Amino acid sequence: MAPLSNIFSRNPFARLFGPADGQVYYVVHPLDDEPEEKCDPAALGPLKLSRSERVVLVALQGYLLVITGLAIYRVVDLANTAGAAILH
Amino acid sequence: MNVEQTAVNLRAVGAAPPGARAVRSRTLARILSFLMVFGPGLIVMVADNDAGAVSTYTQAGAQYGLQLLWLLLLLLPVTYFVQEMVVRLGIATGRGCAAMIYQRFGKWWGRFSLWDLELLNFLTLVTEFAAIKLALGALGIAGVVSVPIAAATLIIMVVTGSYLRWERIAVALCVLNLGWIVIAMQSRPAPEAVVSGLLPQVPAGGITGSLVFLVVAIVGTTIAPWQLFFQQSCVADKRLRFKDLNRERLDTFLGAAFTITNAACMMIVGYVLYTHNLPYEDPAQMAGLLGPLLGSFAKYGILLLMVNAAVLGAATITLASAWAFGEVMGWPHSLQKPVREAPGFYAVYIVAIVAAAAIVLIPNAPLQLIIVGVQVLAGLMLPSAIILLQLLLNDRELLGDFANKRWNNWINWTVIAVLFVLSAILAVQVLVPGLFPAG
Repeated sequence: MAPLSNIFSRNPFARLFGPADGQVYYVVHPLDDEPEEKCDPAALGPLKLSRSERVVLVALQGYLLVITGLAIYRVVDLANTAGAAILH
Repeated sequence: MNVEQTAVNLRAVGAAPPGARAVRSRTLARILSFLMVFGPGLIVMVADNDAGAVSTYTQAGAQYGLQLLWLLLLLLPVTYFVQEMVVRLGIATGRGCAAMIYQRFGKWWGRFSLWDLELLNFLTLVTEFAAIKLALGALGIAGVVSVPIAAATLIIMVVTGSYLRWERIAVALCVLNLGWIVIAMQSRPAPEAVVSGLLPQVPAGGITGSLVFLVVAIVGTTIAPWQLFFQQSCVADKRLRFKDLNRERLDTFLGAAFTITNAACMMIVGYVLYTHNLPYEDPAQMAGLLGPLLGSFAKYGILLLMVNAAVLGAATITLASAWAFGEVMGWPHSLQKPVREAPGFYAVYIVAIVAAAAIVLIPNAPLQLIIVGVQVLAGLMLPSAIILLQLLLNDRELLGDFANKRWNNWINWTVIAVLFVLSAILAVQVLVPGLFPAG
């Protein structure tokens, strides 16, 4: 019979729990770890945009205005319809 | 800033750092490291399959069979790439999306994003409670009982003062969604129908207004604005580190795969109505019809899974609102803090839950109007949130190596263009119903 250590080392699952290389590894949960320095925008001010990015933002504002306008139109239309139905 | 990333959180020598667990195997250390990071990606993806999603996917199956399955396959990489952006931004900055928009784009965009998100999330929350009332009503539990209990449960889940406790409860609710896979297998769909459904196609009947509406609804329910805000805030609250980026990407991908699989199972369940030529009204009615066909496990399972989806959706959507509000107002806003240390954060959450529950209990509450409002607001919110996010991710001055690469931009701008068009179609279709021909 092969030595126990040989059997152990041939078993793939043993590597999960056994002393593979004699070292100890420490695993720290993010909530228990020391806070690390993050990318901080505070000192940078507003985002610098390229011309195409500014065009995209303006187009987006235009889209939002159109949809909001449509929504207001629809609400007024529904209110008029409801009012007319009540009168009749 | 010089951002250093190490592949695994290992310290092979030296004294044990505080809070560390010692393991003797590198492989086990890797697994444990992943499990410690795992959570935000799964939760945000699975919570996206909320009550509205259950309704949308089962309706798609009931109306078009499995002919729209391919759309879900297409949405898997899309939803991953979108969420990966917020993961990167959240880890790099340690802040939420609302705070970043406010800080980098100014007050106008900051306030627009915040208030649109708060309103959209609140209206969606009302629909979640409506679904809880509907599903538990079908089980014989009156709304005056089920809705307050659900509200109390949602509040208790969050006020524990421990992020981990909340996360474990949320992950458990996510795992319950395996029930959809069981019910879908129980329905025994024809394998050839499933395989052919995975191929891109236009369903029989051609492109009609109702098909367009359903496709847009499927896309809109799979990629929702609140997800962007939720996951970034969650990643920040969990204090994920730069070295956790790849693990959190894996968490997000697994979550996306699981949620798309669940969505496909919901479609397969709806497909049973399609094959039997039965009408579809809502998921609760569908569960009643499927009982005689698939058995009582399917009937009660669908109803309880609907409740589960609504509870999980309600919890995450409201947390996204509370985090966003706290970030912009500068209040303490962490699940790690007890109520007395973050009163504003918890107050936003509790008030939203109580108010939404109260609205649903009003007799003849205008729920259909609220659903329409959700669709319009989503049409406003999603394009703006995703475009602002994409611009933030191109900020090399701030993010350095974490900024988008060229291939990121190619993929992201393509996704944004498609989502923009679909959101616009949905919003316009709702606001001007006569514009598109009926189908």
